Amino acid sequence: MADADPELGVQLKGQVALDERLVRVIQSIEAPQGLITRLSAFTRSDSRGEGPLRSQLLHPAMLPVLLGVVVILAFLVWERVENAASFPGKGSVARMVAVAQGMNGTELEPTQSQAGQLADAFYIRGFEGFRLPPELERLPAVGSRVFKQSGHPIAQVAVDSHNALLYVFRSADFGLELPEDGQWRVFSQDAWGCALRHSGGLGTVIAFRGTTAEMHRFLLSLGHD
Amino acid sequence: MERGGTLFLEPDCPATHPHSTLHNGLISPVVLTELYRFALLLTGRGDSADRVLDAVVSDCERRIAQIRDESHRAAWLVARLRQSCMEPRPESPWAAEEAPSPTGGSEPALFDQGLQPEALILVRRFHALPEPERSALALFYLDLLGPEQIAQVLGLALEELSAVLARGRRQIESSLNPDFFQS
Repeated sequence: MADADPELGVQLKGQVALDERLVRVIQSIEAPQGLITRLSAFTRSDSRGEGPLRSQLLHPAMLPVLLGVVVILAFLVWERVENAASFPGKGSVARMVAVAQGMNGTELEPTQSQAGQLADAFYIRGFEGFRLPPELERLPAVGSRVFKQSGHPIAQVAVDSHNALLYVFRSADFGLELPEDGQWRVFSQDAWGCALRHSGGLGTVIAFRGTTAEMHRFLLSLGHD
Repeated sequence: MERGGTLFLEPDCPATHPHSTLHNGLISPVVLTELYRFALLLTGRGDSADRVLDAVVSDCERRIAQIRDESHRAAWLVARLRQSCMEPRPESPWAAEEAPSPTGGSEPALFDQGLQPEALILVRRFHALPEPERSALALFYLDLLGPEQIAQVLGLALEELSAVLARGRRQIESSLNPDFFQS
């Protein structure tokens, strides 16, 4: 159409000339090399998966990787917890606690004294040197007995607090090897929450049906955790 | 005027549209240069263009991958750059100065970067244009977006863009000395 109209043709030629001239001048402008190098390097490293971890993690393709990491971390945490709860003699302690599952209450001799006052009664039954940690001494005892495991005596006390059972034994009898630091170590055994303390050559176990969290709360209620 | 090219390097994926923002994250130096020219034409200063482009590209690189439609990426990037160029800056170039002169010594930032006098004149004439003529004409002369995308970035219909470009052409032409076209 512009070719057919001379005036329009001149106008168009002028416009094309202007465009070409301006494009040439604009194209002669060079960006600072430092800027291009800097931004090129930035965009390359950012785009090849080396960018901010946060944005990479949000990518759907990263979800399986994230899941794998979470599983591995969970396993490591579980293993660490298991190792922390494991100690020489734990098997014997576990068997001790398991004995309670077959009890019906008639095995225990009824008593109404405080748990810490049963040393003489236990001495008569063949367990010498019964002693409880101070935080357990005032707990009301409702029954007690001495039973043997692998030929070694164990003093057992039922207390009227959280339906807990206390076990006292000589640590050497059962191969218990833990620092005698007076600290409670909480662990679970089947459906039982347990706490073990080693002091003065004696091992003391608290056990009741429940979780380790409940055991921690119980210890806190005694003024100890 | 031949326009085309790939905005982003995409070694593993061929370009399906000349102005598509094919992007695996690699903004080519050629495109970075075009973006710098766009920023320069809008801000009128080399140091401002440098700073604005640096900030926008750094910021956009973290976000542009989230735009799934490749055809929108270039427009988005240009729109962000334009928006940043339009923001008032303390070093805003010529507002309080006299008419530009390539020999007047009032544009050290541009001369320092080795701009030829005619490029300097053109940058300053561009910067003196009103919006949206300035952005429309700059994008029309640069190899970044197609007409539809230019219209989209500027929020214009295609007919309006055509009118704006015609008006911008007349304004830039009238602002340039005839000598400009002799060299």
